[in-house]
Amino acid sequence: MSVLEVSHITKTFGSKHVLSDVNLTFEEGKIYGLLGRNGAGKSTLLSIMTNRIFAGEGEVKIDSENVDDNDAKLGLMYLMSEVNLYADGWKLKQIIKDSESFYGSFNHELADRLITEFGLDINQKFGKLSTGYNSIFKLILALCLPVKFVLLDEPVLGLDANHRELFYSELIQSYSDNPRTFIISTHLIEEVANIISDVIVLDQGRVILNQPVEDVLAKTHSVVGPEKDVDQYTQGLNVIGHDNMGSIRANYVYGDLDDRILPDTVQLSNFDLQKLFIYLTNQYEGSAHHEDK
Amino acid sequence: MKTNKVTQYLFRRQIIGLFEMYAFLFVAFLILPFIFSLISGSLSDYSLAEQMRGTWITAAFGVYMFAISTLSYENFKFLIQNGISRTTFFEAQVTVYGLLILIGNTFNLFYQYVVLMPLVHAHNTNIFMSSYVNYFHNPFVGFIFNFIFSGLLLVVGTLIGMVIGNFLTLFSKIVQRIILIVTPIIAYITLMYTASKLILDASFQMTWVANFAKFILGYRATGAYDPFPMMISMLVVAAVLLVIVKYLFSKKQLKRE
Repeated sequence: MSVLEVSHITKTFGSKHVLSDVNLTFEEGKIYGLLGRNGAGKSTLLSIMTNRIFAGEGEVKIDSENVDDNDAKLGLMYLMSEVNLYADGWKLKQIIKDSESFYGSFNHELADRLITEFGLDINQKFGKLSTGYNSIFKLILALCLPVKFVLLDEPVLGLDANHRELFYSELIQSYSDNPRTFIISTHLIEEVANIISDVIVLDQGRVILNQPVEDVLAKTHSVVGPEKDVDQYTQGLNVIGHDNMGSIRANYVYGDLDDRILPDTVQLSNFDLQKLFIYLTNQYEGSAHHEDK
Repeated sequence: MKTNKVTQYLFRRQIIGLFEMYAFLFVAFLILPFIFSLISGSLSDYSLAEQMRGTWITAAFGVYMFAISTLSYENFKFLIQNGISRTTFFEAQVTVYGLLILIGNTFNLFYQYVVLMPLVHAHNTNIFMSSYVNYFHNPFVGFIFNFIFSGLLLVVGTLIGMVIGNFLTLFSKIVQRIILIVTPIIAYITLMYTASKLILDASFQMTWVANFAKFILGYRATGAYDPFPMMISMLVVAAVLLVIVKYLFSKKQLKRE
């Protein structure tokens, strides 16, 4: 059972603090959703985890061993990102062959099926691929290489709705056939909400949420009713946002409710991950010092 | 460690580049002049021996090694994508350049001794042959030292290329351009300043520079130069450059592009 640990990672670019004391643990066999607004530090964190760039402070370990300059540990991860690390003139077939030689094996059976399903021409040169097929090719590599940690940074960039659907179903199938850790960084929260088991929210370089999706959703409460009754009921609770529809008000609460009595005029339900993300990241905007672990 | 796999990968890519360069030179220096002679009706003036007389074939290898040694970022990107550490990349790259130098140097000397000397009666085919070969009275010993001396020159040239290339990859493209523009200007100004001081200022002699250069080059007033000071200097410089290259490799990271 491999564990990927990120400890006290800090990173600055010039005077800009991109990551501040980030601590995370990724367990084997889970699908993590790494969410955050633009510039939250998601891509930087993934690049540090795979030793592409150096952290200012902190360390990344797999099974208590630092991954820095460590072939054995770096070979357990594959980061698919929008940054192209393959030369434009290289043929896709050759890239697969070379990647296989470095990682030790490659699931050709799965790759052939995915190539057919996505309609990818494997005899092309990498630089000739459209944005969508560029992502598809890298996703095929990510799913077919024998790694324990698959890191996907904006995996469906440029993919049309059909291909996105196909990718998510293949991701679930691949995970079910060969359970391993996936870390998916994306802005399309609704699309991954049903796939991920755990959610991590980064905001302004800090972790503001890191919990199983089930636990997170259980703490979301949408309180809807007449404004006066809703405000009275939610008084003292962690209201992270609200909506007004005429005289009806919806207050969004994140956290456990106490045993206060629910008025007849007020309805209680859960709200989704995307809404939680929006309100949480708006709430912490400009005052990022809360950390929820 | 995956050094063997990375070594095979880099060797395959770079030996193909070497063959491509020789093929290009063969076409540019032998085939094209022949075609032009044929088209212009001056085929009688075309001489294969004359075309081969120059030392472009041997010089080309040195230029190729210097050029590829400055280019390491593409390989770094691919290797870090595939979970290969910087240390493994460094070890594999040094091994591959060592192998290429062994192959290229062997080919160069073979070309000098088997083609240039007997066919076109060329003698000063490289630095060693023009300045140091007569230091040895035994031709076989001369040949061996020619091999070592030429190899060391290639090693130092390659390592200088690696230092320049790997140093530049630490910076963004804009900073790289600034360095590439500013460095020659500073070098030119320094050279001009030193030259003018030497000419105009009698007290500014810098005789130690000339004496040091003479010592390193193994200058002797009579007879052939002594190759050993130069060879030892190249060894020391190569060792220092290797340490610098290792350090620069350890600092490689993806640039924000």
